[in-house]
Amino acid sequence: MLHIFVCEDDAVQRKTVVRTIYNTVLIEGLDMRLVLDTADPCELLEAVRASRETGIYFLDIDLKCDMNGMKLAQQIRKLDPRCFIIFITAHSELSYMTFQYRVEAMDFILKDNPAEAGVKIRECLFHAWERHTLQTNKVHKTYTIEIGERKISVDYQDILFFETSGNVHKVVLHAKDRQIEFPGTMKELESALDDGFVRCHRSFLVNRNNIKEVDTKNRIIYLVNGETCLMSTRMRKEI
Amino acid sequence: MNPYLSLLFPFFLVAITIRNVWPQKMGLKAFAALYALMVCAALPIPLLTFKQYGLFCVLLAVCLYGLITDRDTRPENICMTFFGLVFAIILDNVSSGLRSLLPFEIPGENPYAAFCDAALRVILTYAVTLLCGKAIRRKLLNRKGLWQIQQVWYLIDVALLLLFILYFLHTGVRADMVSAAGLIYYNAVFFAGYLLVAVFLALMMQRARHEKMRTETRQRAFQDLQEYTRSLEAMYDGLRSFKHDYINILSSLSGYIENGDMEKLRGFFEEKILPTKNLITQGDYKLNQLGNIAVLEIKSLLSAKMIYAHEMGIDVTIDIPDHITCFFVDTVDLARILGIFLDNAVEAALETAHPEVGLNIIRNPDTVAVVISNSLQDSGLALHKLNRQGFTTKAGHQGIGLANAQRLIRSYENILWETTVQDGCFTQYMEIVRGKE
Repeated sequence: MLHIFVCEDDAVQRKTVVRTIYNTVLIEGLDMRLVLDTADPCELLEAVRASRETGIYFLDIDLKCDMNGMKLAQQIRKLDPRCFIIFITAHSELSYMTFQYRVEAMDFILKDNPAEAGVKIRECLFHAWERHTLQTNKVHKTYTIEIGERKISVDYQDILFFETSGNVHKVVLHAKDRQIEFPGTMKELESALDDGFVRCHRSFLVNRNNIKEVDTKNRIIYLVNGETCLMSTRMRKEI
Repeated sequence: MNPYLSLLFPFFLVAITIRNVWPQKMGLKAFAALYALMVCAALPIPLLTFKQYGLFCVLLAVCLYGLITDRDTRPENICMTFFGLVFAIILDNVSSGLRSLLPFEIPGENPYAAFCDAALRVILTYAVTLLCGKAIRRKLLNRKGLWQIQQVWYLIDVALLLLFILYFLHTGVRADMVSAAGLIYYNAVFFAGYLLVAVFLALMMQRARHEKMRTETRQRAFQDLQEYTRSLEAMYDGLRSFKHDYINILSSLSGYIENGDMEKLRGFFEEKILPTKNLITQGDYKLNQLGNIAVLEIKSLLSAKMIYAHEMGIDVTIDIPDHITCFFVDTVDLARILGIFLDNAVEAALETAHPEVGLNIIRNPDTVAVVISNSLQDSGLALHKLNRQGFTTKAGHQGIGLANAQRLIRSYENILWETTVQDGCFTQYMEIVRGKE
């Protein structure tokens, strides 16, 4: 069961949003419930504190109040870390990217076109539902890189291999559609990761599950996306 | 005559010469100080076997004097010291030559005649050097053209110093009747000196080059900033004209309302007012947000690239919500990295149907995050090949841009760098952590 919260200072617009949500949940038979719609962010926070379920939050950014949508979202994220936050706003003073970065906002709906906004609200509900079921049904192991106060998590299944960089204190993570170069050492990685990862070479730490084939003659490992990494003779029997 | 006393007069002449060719006006006090310094430095001369070394001592003393006083003309001071010394010696030779041409002998024992001779020499030296000094100041020390470059003066200084060292050593060696060991010793001294001079020269060149690069960057930053200002002004003008239109629109609206003409009002609204929505959103690419960056070089670079992207018809989004004063890495390096990323973003975006480029800089308590994203034509781009030197998607390019950026980023331990390709969107993300110092 997902709980839905709406915070919007304009009563007319709030009604429109609520109606769309209500209809979608009813028609599609989603396991969700609209718990609260309000203009007061403090009231919303109280409700979040009381709630034990994961929530979906539709927030306006400009709330005509000392707390704006961004601060509200940050508070909510603290109370309900796995929640889904969607911003509904008229002005795009801050772009989508900042919201995504700061509070991992799921989407960003502009209300200057009511019809389109309705469609997007529906999409967001579906999307949240999908992600929610995925999270609860399957427990992914993830590797988390921490830098400053920022955390980047990568699913084990997406990781292809780690590689040393030219800098002794930096390592490169190769994943399916991303590459991250971060401060760290192979030694630290080896102890942090599980058995799925094998140190196949002095400068490579490969994910066993993403190997496509091994060319033992030339000592090259081919991975599922076509990338290659090297293998040393000594480590051959490990794979 | 006392050897110490016999030194006083020639040094007085030398001091006068130097005073008159000195780059700055030298008062009586400064002159006295200079003279005293020279005499002090000359004190050991009578004790030395080779008088030349003593002269060298004096020369060094005067150079030191030039380095300490009148600091803004240091290299000129030293140069003029050398010049003054040579000039004094030449004048002395000339005056001796002239004296030997005289039809009568100057009686050496007559104190009156000796005094006249000395006075005459002082006056002659003073007059000639004063004239020459004025000419030199006008021609060379005017700080125009080549002469305004300090390095040129240092070069001249070094050349003169070398010449003097050579001269002194040469005469010294000759007087020594050279033993093999002595020769080696002099050579060693000479080459050590030469090495020092060479190192000094190299350092000077290095500094000059650095200075030049800095000026160039400044210049470019300045030009970019001018462009930025122009764009802001254009945006402001657009806004002003809209304000003007807005009043007109309001008055026509009130006209329709007064008449109660709902049909015409609807038509007017749909035809005239709704399209103004585009007017506001279009062209408003939040260039003003760049004002939040207090690092001049970065701001100018970003503005130049973003203005260019906008002019190419790309939908540009800039979002810099916080004031940023420091990026925790070398500004020149960061500018190079960002330049490469933005150039690539613009080029890749232009290949798509709806080109978009986003720039996002966010400040956190301990980090600064820079996100550059662009729309991407999905052509099965292999991410892992991207950073390799020589990899390029463009014909006629070398593919060194990203490889360079990678090298630069790698040299910093406090940068996390993530490259992502997702849903037709290519993102370069950098998180720069405050250094530990």
